[in-house]
Amino acid sequence: MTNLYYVWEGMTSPSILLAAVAGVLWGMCGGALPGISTAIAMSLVLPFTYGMEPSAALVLLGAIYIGSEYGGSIPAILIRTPASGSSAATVVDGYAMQCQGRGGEALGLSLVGGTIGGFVGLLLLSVLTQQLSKVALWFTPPAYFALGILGISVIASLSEGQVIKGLIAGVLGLMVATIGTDPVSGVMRFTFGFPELMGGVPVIIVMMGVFAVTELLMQARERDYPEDITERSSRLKLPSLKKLWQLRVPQIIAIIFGTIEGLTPGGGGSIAAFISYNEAKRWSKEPEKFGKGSEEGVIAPETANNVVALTALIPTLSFGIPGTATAAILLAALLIHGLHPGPNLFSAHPDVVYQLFGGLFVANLGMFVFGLVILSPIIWLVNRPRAYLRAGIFGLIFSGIYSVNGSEFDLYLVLAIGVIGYLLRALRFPFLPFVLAVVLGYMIEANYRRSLLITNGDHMVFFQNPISLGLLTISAIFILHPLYRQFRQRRDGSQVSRPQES
Amino acid sequence: MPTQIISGVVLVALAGIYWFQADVIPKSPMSGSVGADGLPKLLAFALGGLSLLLIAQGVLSRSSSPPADIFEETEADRVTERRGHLMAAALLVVTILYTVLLPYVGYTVAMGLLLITVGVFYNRRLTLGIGMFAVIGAVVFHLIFITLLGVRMPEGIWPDLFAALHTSRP
Amino acid sequence: MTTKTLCKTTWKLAALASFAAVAMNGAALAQDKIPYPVSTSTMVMQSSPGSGGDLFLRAVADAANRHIAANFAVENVTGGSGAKAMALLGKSRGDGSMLMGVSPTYVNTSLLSKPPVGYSDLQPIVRLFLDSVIVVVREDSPYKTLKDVVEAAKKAPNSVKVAVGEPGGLETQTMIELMQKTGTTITVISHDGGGDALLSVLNGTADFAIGEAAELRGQLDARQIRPIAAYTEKRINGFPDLPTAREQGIDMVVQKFRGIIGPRNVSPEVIKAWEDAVPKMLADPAFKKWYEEGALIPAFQNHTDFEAFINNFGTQQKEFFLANNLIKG
Repeated sequence: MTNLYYVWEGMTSPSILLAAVAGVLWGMCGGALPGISTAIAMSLVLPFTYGMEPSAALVLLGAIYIGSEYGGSIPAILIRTPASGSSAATVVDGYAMQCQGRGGEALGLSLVGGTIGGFVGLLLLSVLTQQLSKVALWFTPPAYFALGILGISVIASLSEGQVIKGLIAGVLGLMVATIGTDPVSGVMRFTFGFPELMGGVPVIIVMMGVFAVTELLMQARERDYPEDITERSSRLKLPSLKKLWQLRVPQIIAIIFGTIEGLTPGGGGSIAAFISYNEAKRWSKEPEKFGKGSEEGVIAPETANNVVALTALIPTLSFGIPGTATAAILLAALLIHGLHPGPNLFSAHPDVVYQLFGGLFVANLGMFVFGLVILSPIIWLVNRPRAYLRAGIFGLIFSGIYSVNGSEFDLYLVLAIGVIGYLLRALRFPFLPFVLAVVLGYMIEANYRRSLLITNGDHMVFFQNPISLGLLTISAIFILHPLYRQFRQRRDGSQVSRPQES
Repeated sequence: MPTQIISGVVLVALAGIYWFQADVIPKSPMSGSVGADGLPKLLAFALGGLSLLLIAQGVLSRSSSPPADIFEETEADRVTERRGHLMAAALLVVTILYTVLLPYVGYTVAMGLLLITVGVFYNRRLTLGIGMFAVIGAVVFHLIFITLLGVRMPEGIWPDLFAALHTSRP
Repeated sequence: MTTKTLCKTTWKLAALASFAAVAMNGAALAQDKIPYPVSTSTMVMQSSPGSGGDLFLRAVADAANRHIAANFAVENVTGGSGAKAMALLGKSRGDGSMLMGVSPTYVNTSLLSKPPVGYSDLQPIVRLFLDSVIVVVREDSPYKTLKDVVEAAKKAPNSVKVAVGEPGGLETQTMIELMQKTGTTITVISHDGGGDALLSVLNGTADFAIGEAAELRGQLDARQIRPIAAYTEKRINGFPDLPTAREQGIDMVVQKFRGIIGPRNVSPEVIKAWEDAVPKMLADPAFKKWYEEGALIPAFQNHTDFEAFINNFGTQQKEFFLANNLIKG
């Protein structure tokens, strides 16, 4: 009962309210700037929280996390520029909708999806923390490996009928993921003496290169420039309740994978968003719409990354182990205020924990309200004449990428990735397998090799671990089933209808 | 399609280069049974094999049904295509120039130059509007990234130049 | 436009909060302060705000502000595992206006990625602390001491597994040294960070882990993990019952240091000021409370000793990296 009182206190105390509102706003603005990742947005504010009371400080940072995960979807949808790795999956269908003049609808879907994801995540965080923290312990290296395989098994179906080209793009993506320090031994691979590559090619740079830079290069090919059309983007349009009910399957998928990724360290928003996108497509009644402005393709990743923002706090609070790099900053804030996260936190400092939950509730609500307010001016900004908009996008990309590491090398890197993306698109290679492989490559390789270290080279471990066995079986079915179907179609139709291949 | 065959050949070459680069990855006693070069070598083989398939597919589709191909290129298409690539390459050169100049002219000036060049590139001509946009845009970017976010952007030669002027004038 | 003004408001609010914090901390007396060549000094930190190194340097700056007649502020210059920060420090004037807070990472980065400015181009000023590195097992583990672990590893090579943080880091090095000293083979599983390594111990993937006492505090307090040895010279203050590795017959001490460095040509006044200030800082009650909570071991070294220490450390690291093919000779 006292806990409920603390929640109420969190929702009404002026300092916590201010922290929630300010945090979510700052997060939305920062998150919408490419390159200013959630972690950067939070760490910029962190020094200022040292003098605040603990619960207000935590609410401020938690609110930034929530706001930022949503904010990333705005440039993803409107200008095909993922502001962070976790909003990259939204680009695919969000920008397609924007091109069809349905950008306002996409923004509405991501706002409502993000809010729902936030509330569900908060519910899980506040009610099931103790139970869910055990789930984090189920995930051992073989299970992570299998999760990665499940994610990547979708490549064939993302290949738009060009399986060979799709697989090639996937292999190229995995190659990019091998650059950097070897996850097991620490030796350098493919760094060619550049210290900047020691940590690998950052996912955000790959995303900005493949999505934003490639798009700008493609646009440079346009022959004629018709006078500017201003009706490209509609007004913000929230989905109706009926629509949300129709979109329940992708949302449930997003909640499941968002929770898994939030609970387990290392994954984070980008993996959750991409896996949710894939599975939403797999379970969809209209998978053919994906990539061409599917509503499911927008709401799934956007719900997922907001679920992650809250469920990542579960291991942070209950183990002191952050589920994402971003949650690590929250952990630091706890330590600064002399709070030791871990199983004892809930009994030792219930006031701080439950006030945090109350504050995050307000932050989630605030995100929805601010979303309604700030989206209209942003849509206006995006509807400026094309030359201005595109020059501005270049400015944003270059400033954002530079701020990630303060390195000019990264600017060349993003251009190089942009060129790869351009070649892929110009030669009609599907690029989604490439992106997916970059996101998942590290997780798959590192955990495959860790698993074999544990068993001294015995592959049976992947079939002995129940989670791994289950996920691998599902992946195998998903890979084999379409092939089988294709085979039967081909046999039945014999020479009447050959599948289209270029 | 010849482009498909050409890209296949390039990819086979890439697979070869990648394999040799993977072969020189240092061995470490901590690498485990698979080794740091295990996955890279597997990927090199996979890329090589898939590229050969791509070439085969290209050759087959060329010999079996050349006229009915929907991607059949006319001379005009080819010219448009080449022109498109040139335009993209030109834009790329502009952005590389920005990156090269950045450490010398500093963030704010480089940003102004980038905005005006890219603006003119897409707009096809210089207008007063683009000029003003570049100036205001550079200031706004300066305010967001340097003043507000406190990012340590390159300052360029200006501080040194200013200091030199300052000391030479006693 | 609206968004920007709103952002700014947020920023101002946050700035206001920080101002209040500074005002509270800055209430020290102006007298008795050690003179310093410049009035403001930037302390560079290679990791991001909130990281262990960042918290260390902020606490140091805070204490230094009370004992040295200058204003110290921390700036995070991330990128290249410290290469960026070292380059910046290397360019700075030697008047004490720019210093850097360091841990073994800066030596390792200098050796591994050979940046333009490395550790040998910079001047060690003072060492402040050593981290207390401890060995932990899960609460229900059969191992009671580090000796038990070694015995088990002797009986069946590669049957005992240890979880460590990043590959090629200090924890891996410690394990290799242990294996060489005891003639055992233990499977070393590297992770993406210390937190992941701890999870691996909690879920039984690994039998034990190495880490800093401060990071493991939550689990230790909750009795989910149990310390079995400390790689320190003496027993750690907060863990009086925990025997050191030496007491258990394994002659090993992990030197995870934390100190302050400057550019090559840093002036003698700056070095003198820090050498005088650090003993006072270590006795400062507020600072003491902070470092004892974090289980940091005060290990002050003056400039001469610290320089020798760093050179020796650098040589050791180089040998290790060469032996494990992490760098080429």
